Amino acid sequence: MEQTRALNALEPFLALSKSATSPRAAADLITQATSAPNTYVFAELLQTPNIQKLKDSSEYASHYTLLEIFAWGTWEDYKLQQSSLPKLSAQQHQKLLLLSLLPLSHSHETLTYTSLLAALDLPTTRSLEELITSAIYAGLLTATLDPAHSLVAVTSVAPLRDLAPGSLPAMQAALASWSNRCDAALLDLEARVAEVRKAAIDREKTRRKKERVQEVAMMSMEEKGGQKRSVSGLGDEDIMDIDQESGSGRTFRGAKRGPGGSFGGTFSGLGRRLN
Amino acid sequence: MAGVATNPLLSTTRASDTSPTIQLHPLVLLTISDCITRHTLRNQQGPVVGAVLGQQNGQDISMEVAFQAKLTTDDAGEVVLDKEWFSKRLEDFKDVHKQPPLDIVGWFTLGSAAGPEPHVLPIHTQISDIFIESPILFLFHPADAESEATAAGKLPLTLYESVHESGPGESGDKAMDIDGAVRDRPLKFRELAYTIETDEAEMISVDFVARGGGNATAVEGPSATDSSRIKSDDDKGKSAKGKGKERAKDETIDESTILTAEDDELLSTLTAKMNAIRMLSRRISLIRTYLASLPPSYLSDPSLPFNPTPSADHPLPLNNPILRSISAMLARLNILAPSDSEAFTIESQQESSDVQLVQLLSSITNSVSAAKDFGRKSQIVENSRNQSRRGIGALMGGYDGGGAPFFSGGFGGGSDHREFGGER
Repeated sequence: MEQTRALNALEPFLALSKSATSPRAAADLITQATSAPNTYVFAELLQTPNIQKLKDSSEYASHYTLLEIFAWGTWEDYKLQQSSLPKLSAQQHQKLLLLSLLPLSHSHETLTYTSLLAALDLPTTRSLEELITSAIYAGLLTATLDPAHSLVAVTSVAPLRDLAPGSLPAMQAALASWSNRCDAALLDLEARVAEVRKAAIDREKTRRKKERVQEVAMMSMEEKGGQKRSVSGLGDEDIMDIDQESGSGRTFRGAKRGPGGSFGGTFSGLGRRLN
Repeated sequence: MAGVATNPLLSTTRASDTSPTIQLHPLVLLTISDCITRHTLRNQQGPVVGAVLGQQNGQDISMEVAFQAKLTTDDAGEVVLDKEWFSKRLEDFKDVHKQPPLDIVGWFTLGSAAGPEPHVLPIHTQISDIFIESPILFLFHPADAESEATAAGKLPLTLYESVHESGPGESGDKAMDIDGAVRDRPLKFRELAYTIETDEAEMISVDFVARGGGNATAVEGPSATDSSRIKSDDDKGKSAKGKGKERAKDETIDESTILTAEDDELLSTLTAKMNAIRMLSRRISLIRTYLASLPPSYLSDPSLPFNPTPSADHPLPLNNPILRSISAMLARLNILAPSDSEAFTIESQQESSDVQLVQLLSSITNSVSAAKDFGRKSQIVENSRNQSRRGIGALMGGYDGGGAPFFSGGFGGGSDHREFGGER
């Protein structure tokens, strides 16, 4: 969104660059383009043939360098070469400060009031706050000011800075590390999923084992109970009868089970009812 | 069907500023897919057609609910809406959705991604004659439901607004011969952009459907020969999907039965996260591929010239807007974490320890309840054992003549028993 606006603002200067064949006209165009409101990107202008020709002109090469600084440099870059560069107008100065804010918002270290004041050569915190507010209104930054902690909390940066020469490998490296992190996170999540499944399977196994043991226990109980019942069924009369009828060979067993059998039967029945 | 290069019904003009913007609610999508499912399972003939209701506010149109319409064949042999039934149904729906008031904004049917076909025209003109001047055509593409674009998040549907275009050469058009009335004022369809909107109540139903989708079983639809073309496409998509699902089910039958509700929830959360990260990772690799495919220029090596010429190896020219966007996005990465990282770490640690504490408490509660359960059970077992021991004791007592000194429990039991016996 911001980029389209900035490109639209640059459009007339791109059209003018076709007719700016003389170095003087091209240098003039650069001054106009950098002073105009809403022009924040300059790579397209920088790439036009007439501006490129300016690089070889002895008189106006400094204008070319200035445009380069506006495209991807910062206020500090300008300060370093201030002596050889054309003087900045008030608008140009303001714009370069705004543009310098963008690369400075790439890390938390530079987003403190002190470091911003130093980097932008601003006299007071008030001027800094004004600058940041105007950057927010211009759509360059989405940020909030935190004067209590002397911090600027930036949430996003508008895509309004051109790429400096040789910045591609760094970008590729950043992307590579990002995608590595994605892969690592995916592996983590997969492990977690496997863990959950394994836990569920383990739980199920334990449950089944428990069930089996319980079943076996119940079976054995049942068998016992059944035996007792069968014994008790016989107990009262049959065994007694047998005892009475048969000889001494059976008397022992009969004596053992006879009287108890009936009671045992009663009680095992009672026990079962209690269960 | 898909091979049609240019659809005579499609307008060639681009969407203008005056075109409405559509906010599509998932409920409409659910209703439509429901209609398709019913239609297929009941072996119904004819096209699937229904009305879409929503609000119109200037150029903003929302599509909130939909219902399937009853169709009849008119005197000319064309499939049209049953006017009486449709009006009644529409009134019913308006009664139900009074706050905010909904009205018909368009209608849906099935079709190919190539655009609307001539058979949509009678219904479209009917709706525009009776109800609303320019209804929006909601074309659902069942054939695309399995395509890669859909898997990547693109919905298999297209919205069209109808425009009347006067132009020569229309009368000879094959599509226009279908309906005599249409020839007089050629009706064209222009594609519209849409966004998906949801509110909270809808989220619940969507969530429910997403969960239920895992247990969905496919039913083989009718064979392709006796159904309409639209339907056969639908069936193909469905049965293919169904087979895949059934196969998957056989493998996981053991797991799916043993997972508890919490496990399911956890797994679906994890899967959703994984899918999101996978999509992010795909996007990142796309950007990486794009950067890698750029020709060598001043960006990769400061000594190289500004305007690289696209070669066979690197067909893409440098696109400054894209490069700037990538650079701005990467710049954000460093400042995503809050600046006060110490406080952030402490807070996240507190959060995680809170969660773990709750987990511990819940496991303690579980243990306590398990212990209680165990106590109760063991009491019962103890009791019954005592009882049966009395029985054994009685046995022993009988054997030992009522007074076995070496088996005190049995002895006591025996004496108890005697009392009991005495009572009896």
